[in-house]
Amino acid sequence: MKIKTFTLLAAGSLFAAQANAEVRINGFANIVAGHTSSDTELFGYTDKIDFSNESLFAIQVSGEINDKMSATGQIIARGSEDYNAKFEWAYLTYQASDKIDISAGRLRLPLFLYSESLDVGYSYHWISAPQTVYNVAFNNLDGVRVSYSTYASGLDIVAQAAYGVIDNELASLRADDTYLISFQAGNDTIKGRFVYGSGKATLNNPEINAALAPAFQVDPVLGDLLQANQDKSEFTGVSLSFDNFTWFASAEYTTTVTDDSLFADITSFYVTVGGRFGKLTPSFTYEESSSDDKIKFLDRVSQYPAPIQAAITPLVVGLQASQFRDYNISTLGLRYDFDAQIALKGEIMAVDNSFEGTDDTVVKFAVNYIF
Amino acid sequence: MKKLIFILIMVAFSNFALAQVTVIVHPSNNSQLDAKQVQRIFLGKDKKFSNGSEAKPVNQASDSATRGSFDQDVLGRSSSQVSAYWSKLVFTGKGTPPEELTSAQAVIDFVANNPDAIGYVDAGSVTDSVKAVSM
Repeated sequence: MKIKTFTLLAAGSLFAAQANAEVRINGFANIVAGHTSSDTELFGYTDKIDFSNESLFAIQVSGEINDKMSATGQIIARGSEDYNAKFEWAYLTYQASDKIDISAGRLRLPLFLYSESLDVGYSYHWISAPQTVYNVAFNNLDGVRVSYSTYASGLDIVAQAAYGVIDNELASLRADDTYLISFQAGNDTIKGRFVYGSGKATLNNPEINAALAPAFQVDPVLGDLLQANQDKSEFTGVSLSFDNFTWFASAEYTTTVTDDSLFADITSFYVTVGGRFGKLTPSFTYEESSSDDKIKFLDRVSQYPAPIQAAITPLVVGLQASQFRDYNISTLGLRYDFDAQIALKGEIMAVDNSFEGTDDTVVKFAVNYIF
Repeated sequence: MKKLIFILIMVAFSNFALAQVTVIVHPSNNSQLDAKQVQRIFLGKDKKFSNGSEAKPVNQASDSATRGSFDQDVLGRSSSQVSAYWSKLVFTGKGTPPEELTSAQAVIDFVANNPDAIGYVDAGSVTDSVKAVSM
């Protein structure tokens, strides 16, 4: 509810800005078609060709309120949500000085190298950013973000800090008291980045809550251990990128650790390399994501009488094992710059899922447009 | 025959001149400018001249040959790479690309009338109303 009020306020100030200052409207669209080689569903694709899973249309409106303040709203209609348009971002920015700006509202959490333009397919060489790393439920923050940027002895340095709440209704995930710090340094060719974030995660999924009920009956402490309810979750990421305008390469490594919950600790990374040859940009990406596969809380279960142990152990193990993963994806991609505002892309992804013991191929085509 | 050769040479030179891009500022602008600083201003990384005033860069139209040469020679990347670069900044609310003017004359007029402007034109179009930056 709060965000809706804010959205209205932000939209209101955007329109108010129209009277006395420039209002800019930009937009972008990704049309993605894809299918898999087998009938198992993978990342929203099946063996029937699909056009809506990763497609989206977006409009961004930004207006200057005065010399120091601006308002930005981004409205996205995603094919995966039946093209229902939603405010993805709505925030006000105050330019405190040449080096410091402060934004407040709903904004993108600066988790990754490509976080900020994650939805703008045109801005990178992939059809979508490596999903092992980027497909997390905590990309947007309702809160405040402070950015400090400076240029010294040939290095661009950016430090950011953010504080607020993550409220992802689609994933039934909420993280209170979320804070994040990131530090980035580099020149035109090489850039390094470090990020650390922490929040108190709560998963309020009806199916998982129902599955947890027997654990709460046996032992409320065990139930609480398994349930993600205000449990500390930590995110760490490092990345390195190289780009001399002909050749480019980047790598990101991230870990997510959640205490006292059914969530497994996840480690993900990708490495991508590519080259730009006129209008063509071929690239190769390898990505991997795996969990630590540790079953927690069995020491507590072992204190129960034998019949209760036997009854509850499968649930304790099963709930945690449902979060395990181990898969990798190799992607060959080609981008073609059709026009200064339109890019066409094709990708073949070989998905090797060691955990499920499956091998699949996903083929995708995309049109990216900006205006 | 000699006349024809002369014309051909002139044509060759004028083509050459078209590809040669000259960066221009207002005659009163006394800032130190080198290729790196011009690049940073046109990529939105620097917002001010060395004299402290806010820089107002202006572009030529995205389909002009001068723009192509400027993007390649001064910014060091193709026009579509520059456009991908700006799409990142635009859609993160971090900046807006320089305004596009329709002709070399429009750029010269804008720069001549705006002490904080910086633009570029093909070398042959430079007039006395603006200051050419040697890089």
